[in-house]
Amino acid sequence: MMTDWRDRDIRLDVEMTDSSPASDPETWVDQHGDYLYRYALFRIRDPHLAEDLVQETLLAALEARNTFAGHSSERTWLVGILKHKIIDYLRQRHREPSFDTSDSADTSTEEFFTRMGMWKVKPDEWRFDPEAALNRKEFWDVFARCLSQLPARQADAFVLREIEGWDNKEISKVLNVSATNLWVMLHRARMRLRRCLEIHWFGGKTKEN
Amino acid sequence: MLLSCKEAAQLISQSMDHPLPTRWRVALKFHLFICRFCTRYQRQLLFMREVLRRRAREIDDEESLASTSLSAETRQRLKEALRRRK
Repeated sequence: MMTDWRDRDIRLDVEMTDSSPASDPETWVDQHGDYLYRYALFRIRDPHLAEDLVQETLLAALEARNTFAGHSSERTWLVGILKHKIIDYLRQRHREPSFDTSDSADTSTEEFFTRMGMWKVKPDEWRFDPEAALNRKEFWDVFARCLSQLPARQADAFVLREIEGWDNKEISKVLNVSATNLWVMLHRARMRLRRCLEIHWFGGKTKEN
Repeated sequence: MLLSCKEAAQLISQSMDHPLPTRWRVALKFHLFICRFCTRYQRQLLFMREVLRRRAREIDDEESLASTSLSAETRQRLKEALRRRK
């Protein structure tokens, strides 16, 4: 089930309770550190940044330890804090508005189409069992590499839309782009990612046909 | 109305974010009916979404993720940071 990042009450400001204090903070590192790290890395893609976000999360949790009300598991509580850290980070990263107007709807994917609007390289039948890809580390390595080749805003838009399932309005706000800009970015990100996966994983044709 | 593949691809992407106005939906449906490449394109985009969401849900117990973990060094650093602030 998708969990919603934004509205979830992470209970930082719940009344103090000593009936169910969180466990010794140092044990968080061994118990939840890897999970938090993977969670952040999957969304942010930069290992150092992911580590920093984990550290910030743990320190914020330490500050707020007495407010952990035990309504949720310790991990859910920590992930809730991490989500907020990630959104704060994205806001910060995209604080400068995008002045890139080169990506109009029409020109954004022109490298993929002829002047007549036909596919330059027709989408190939994906030969590998797509389901099997899911469980292969190599597939996710390829995916991460493809994603990292996109401009940061485009990649972040794609992650928020496709992984987190946010609606476009919310994404526009966090990434500081107009609605039109956003759909062009998403269109382009999907087009490029699909093509990148086709070339590097599904063994698609690399030549124009 | 007849769409080019380029136009169809735009509509496919938009349709993944919100419902299309009726006339565009009909035009896209017709295009997909006659164009197997755009049909593939749509199927593959939906597949990418599906595996990503599933991956996000399974991030905890994936075998393949076992190699993605904090280094011993980082672990130590985090513990020290917590100890200092306690």
